[in-house]
Amino acid sequence: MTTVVALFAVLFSSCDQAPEPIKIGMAINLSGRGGEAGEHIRDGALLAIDEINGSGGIHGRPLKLLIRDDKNSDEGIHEADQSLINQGVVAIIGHSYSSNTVKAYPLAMASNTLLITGHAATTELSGKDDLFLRTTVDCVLYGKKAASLLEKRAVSSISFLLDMTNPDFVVDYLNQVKRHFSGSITEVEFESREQADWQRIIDELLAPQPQAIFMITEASMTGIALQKLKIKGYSGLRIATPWAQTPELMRHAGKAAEGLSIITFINPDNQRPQYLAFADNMEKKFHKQATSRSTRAYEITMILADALRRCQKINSFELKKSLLSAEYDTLMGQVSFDRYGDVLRPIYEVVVMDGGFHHSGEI
Amino acid sequence: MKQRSLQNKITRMLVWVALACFMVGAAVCGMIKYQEIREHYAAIMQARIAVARSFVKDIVSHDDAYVKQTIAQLSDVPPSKLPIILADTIFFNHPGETFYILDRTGTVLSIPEPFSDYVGLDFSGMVAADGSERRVQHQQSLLSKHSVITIQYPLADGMSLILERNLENIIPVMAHFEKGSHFDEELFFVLSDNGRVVYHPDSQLVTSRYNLGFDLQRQSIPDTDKLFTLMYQKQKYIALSDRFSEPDCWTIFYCVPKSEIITTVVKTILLQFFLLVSLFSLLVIVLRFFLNRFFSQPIEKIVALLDLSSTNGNLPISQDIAEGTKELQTIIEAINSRDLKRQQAEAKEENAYALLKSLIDSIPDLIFYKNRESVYLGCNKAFCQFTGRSEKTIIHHTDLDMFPREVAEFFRSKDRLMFDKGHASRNEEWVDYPDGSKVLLDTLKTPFYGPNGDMLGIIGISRDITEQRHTTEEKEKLQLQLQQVQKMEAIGTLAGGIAHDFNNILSSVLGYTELAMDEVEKDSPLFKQLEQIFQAGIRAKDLVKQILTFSRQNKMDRQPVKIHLIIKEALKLLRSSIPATIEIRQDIDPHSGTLLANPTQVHQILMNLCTNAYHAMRRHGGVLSVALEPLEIAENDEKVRNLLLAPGPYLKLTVSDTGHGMDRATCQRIFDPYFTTKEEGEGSGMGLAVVHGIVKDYNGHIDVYSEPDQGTTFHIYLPRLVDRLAYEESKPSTLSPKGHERILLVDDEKAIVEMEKVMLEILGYRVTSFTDSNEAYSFFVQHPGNFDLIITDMTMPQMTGSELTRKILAVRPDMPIILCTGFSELINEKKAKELGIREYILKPVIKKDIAQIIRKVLDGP
Repeated sequence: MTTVVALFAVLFSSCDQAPEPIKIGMAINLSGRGGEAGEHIRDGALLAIDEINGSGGIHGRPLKLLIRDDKNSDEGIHEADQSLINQGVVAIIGHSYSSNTVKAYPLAMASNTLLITGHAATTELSGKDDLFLRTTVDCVLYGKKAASLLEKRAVSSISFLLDMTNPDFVVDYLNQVKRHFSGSITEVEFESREQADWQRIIDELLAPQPQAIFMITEASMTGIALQKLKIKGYSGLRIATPWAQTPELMRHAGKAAEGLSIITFINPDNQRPQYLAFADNMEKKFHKQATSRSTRAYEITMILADALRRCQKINSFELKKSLLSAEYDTLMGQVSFDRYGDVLRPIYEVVVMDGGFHHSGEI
Repeated sequence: MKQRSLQNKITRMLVWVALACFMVGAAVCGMIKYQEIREHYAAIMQARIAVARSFVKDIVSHDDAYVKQTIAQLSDVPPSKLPIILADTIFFNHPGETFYILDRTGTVLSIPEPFSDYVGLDFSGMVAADGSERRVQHQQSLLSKHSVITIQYPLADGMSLILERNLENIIPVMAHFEKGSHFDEELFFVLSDNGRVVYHPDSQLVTSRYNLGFDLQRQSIPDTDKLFTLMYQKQKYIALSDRFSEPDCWTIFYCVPKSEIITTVVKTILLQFFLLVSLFSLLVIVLRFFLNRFFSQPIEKIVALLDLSSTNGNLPISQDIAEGTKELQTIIEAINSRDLKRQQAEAKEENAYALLKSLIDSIPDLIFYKNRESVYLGCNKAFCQFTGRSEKTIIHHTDLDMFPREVAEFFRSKDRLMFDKGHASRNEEWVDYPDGSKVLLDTLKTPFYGPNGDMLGIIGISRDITEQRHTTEEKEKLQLQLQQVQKMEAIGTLAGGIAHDFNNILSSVLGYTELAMDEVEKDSPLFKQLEQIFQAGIRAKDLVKQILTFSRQNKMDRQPVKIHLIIKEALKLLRSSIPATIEIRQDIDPHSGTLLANPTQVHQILMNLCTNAYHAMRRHGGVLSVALEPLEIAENDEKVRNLLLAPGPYLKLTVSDTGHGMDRATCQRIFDPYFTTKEEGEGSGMGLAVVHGIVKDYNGHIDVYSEPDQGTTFHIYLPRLVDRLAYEESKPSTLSPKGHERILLVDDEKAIVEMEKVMLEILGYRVTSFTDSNEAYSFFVQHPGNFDLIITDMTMPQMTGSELTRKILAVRPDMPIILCTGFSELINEKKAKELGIREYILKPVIKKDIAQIIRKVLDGP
């Protein structure tokens, strides 16, 4: 019977004239170093898109997410963005690193394509009345809060491990900390795209016997660093950025991650119903836990959908106008953009305990 | 519903049936074919997926046996040296792949360059917790950054050898496999347990470990062939999947675009459709041919003949049309038989209708029928004549269309009355014919009903009863006249009887008075007294005479009379005796002719009528008209048909006045004796009774018309005498002639005999008298020559006067005989003369009369 129905359905079905989808691009690192973190971003956005389309899309038009892997390389970034622009996306979510976003910025602006990210915290993109927006705080706030934490912990000497594959974030972050931190600072740079010389790195970090080591690195490198520091018997304060706030940190650091402080605006102990529902759906549909990256991706996609619904016309300028004109109650809390598309959000200290991230209070 | 020819219907039916069969057949065939194709696809896909699975397994595990063998051979080699040895083998030199050895805690014991910095790091998070089992992990390699699967081999002392297999190395192998694809756009991919892509033609999904499982959430439930549908990138696929047991929980998907199958199915089905269409078309054509040849064409011919029959009358249908089909032959026979019967029935019905129509038309009554709305449905000729319209112009019309509104509403009200009552109603109505005549109709309106008992309308029958009404009225009038006649007859009979006896009495009184007067001096008082007695007796005699005249028993002599002379003379007399306020108009035709009558009686008629007229007008004056005209009454003469007169020539005497007239009751009694409307002493009440008696005695008729204050008119019809000599008036003699002849006198009344004997003897005659007729006869027989004359009474107990006469004449035929009687219904003047009686004289006899008659008999020719 099913066969008959299927046959007739095929024979006599009329051509579906589905509404034209609204395309959104996503350009993130999926296969380069730290590519696993990109998976979280992709999955969070996919879940949001699924829910948005499930509830009727944008005035009946589905939202289509075009995902590109920027491979964490200059070529990859350009190819990914150009591909998305060619596809006529109204906005590009990306990239997952500040430097990659800064690299993508000229092309996006030149093509009048809105660029929005939840990860690029570089102040280089702050205060510009352009088509760039973000849901992450910028390094100014991070630097201030980091200095505040250091001061709170009475840290007077600190070594920074700087992954220079993302200099726009790393250097900016460092500079912003420097603006508020008066203690001694040691800077150790490396390139995570290349094979790191961990002996040298660790030696340089520990040489000044810092009270704290601040790792502005992605998760896997942070994990290795933490293991190395543990092997060296370092017992001082270890601090990381949201860049490392992924499950891969635990996989690569193991128990060495215990006690790590992360200065972040993502609360892992979020109890908001929206977040809990999101986390539950991630578990069901992706067999993964909600992460800071999937959460941010989900949030940013939802905000875009909200703004698109309020657009008179679907284009980047209208979208920006719409984005800036509202306040959003997201799974992470209230958020609104300033006139430059930047946000201010609470900054928390998150501590790794028992193999998990835990909220340790707002800074 | 639209009407179509049988052939058209058959064609359409065949087409529809064929179409339905075709659709069902096509659906069934299509379903079967689709199933077959689907099964065929399933078989191919299963075969393909089996091959693909073996490829994947081979890629992932092709070195497995060698690795295990090597590990076994190097069991005694220290772990720190194992990487160097293993690195030299071909199994660990694939691009992007590497390996390392972990101790039981997951700490890196040994790892090839350039990752030696990782020695001593805790990799337990990147491998399975239990290092004793061979496990596979799918992740991005920390070392190579490729998407890899880590295969874990247990070594001695709880150590583990971890191999990282670069999934990108699978791609070229599988791509080679996919070159041998069976279907265009087929899709083959492998997902790990959490849905991430292990292999996919799009290598980016492999390198980025795309979670394709999320995209494939909307899968249908697998059917019996384990096929299911899924949507991927907006395309619908028929898919077959197989779950690997090794590597753990991988699933391989083999997808073929559904359009691919559908295209194949459609192509196949279209071919079948074409064959089916051809088959059904051929079938339809063949069926249509045979149905047309043996069914619809004969039927159409029959129908055509039936149509022709309807216009040209029933024509028999030839059996040849049936084309030898028994059923059609039966139908034709039935139609012919039915037509014949119908023709006969129609003819019968037409005859019956014609008869009925003729019958209805032949009925002089007005017959019509209407429906419940009082609209005419039909009528007979009489009704057409009544309305002045043809039947066609009556049908479908109402009374309102044909009659004045008032009349029409009256008719319609009677219709409604009958409908309301539900049964017949009858009424009489005066209506005007178009020719201006007015008739009285007796109309009976009766409902008529349909087969189911519903009242359909009204049948009306109107009978012209004008004549009947007149006849009835005339009948009533005649009845009254008859009663009057009978009454007169009775009165006459009674009067006759009385008169007979009275005359006998008067005979004695008058006779003896005359005798006494002869005995006394004329100047003496006694003479005067006797004269008074005699005059009283004469008045009494006249009275009896009038009674007898009324009763038509006083047969006076008649002679041809020019009646107009009598009338003119009488009118002269009247003019001088009635006042001038009364004008006398006379219209006397001098050529009116002759009447066989007694002039006195004619005079009496006119005088009596005119005297009455005078009385009616004496107070206010008026006009007395007298007219006389000849009249010829033919058989069934309309003008006088109610007068009961025999055809022939008549004289019509009309006397009319403009006096006070009479009412109907008075009119009915005016001919009664002693009936009078005059003052006491002004009339005896015998005038009109005498007139009536005279007229009837002349076989005439008297008619009166009078209304109060409108005057009175009498019409008198008297038979006219044709070719007779004119009446010559002669004056009666007043003398009593005498003689000396011998007379035999016979009368049973002794006093009369004695009185007559004296009277005759005074006149000079010699008289022999008898009171017994037998004795008288006997005496005569003995002396037949002794008598010159015999005077006999009529009514005698022994022998009547007529019998005596007969016997005497038998003895002496020349014997003159005078019959003298008071009254006898047994004899009259005519009969008396037939018997040989010379004269006939009524009692009471006065001397002068008897003297003249005797002389007339004895001296006559």
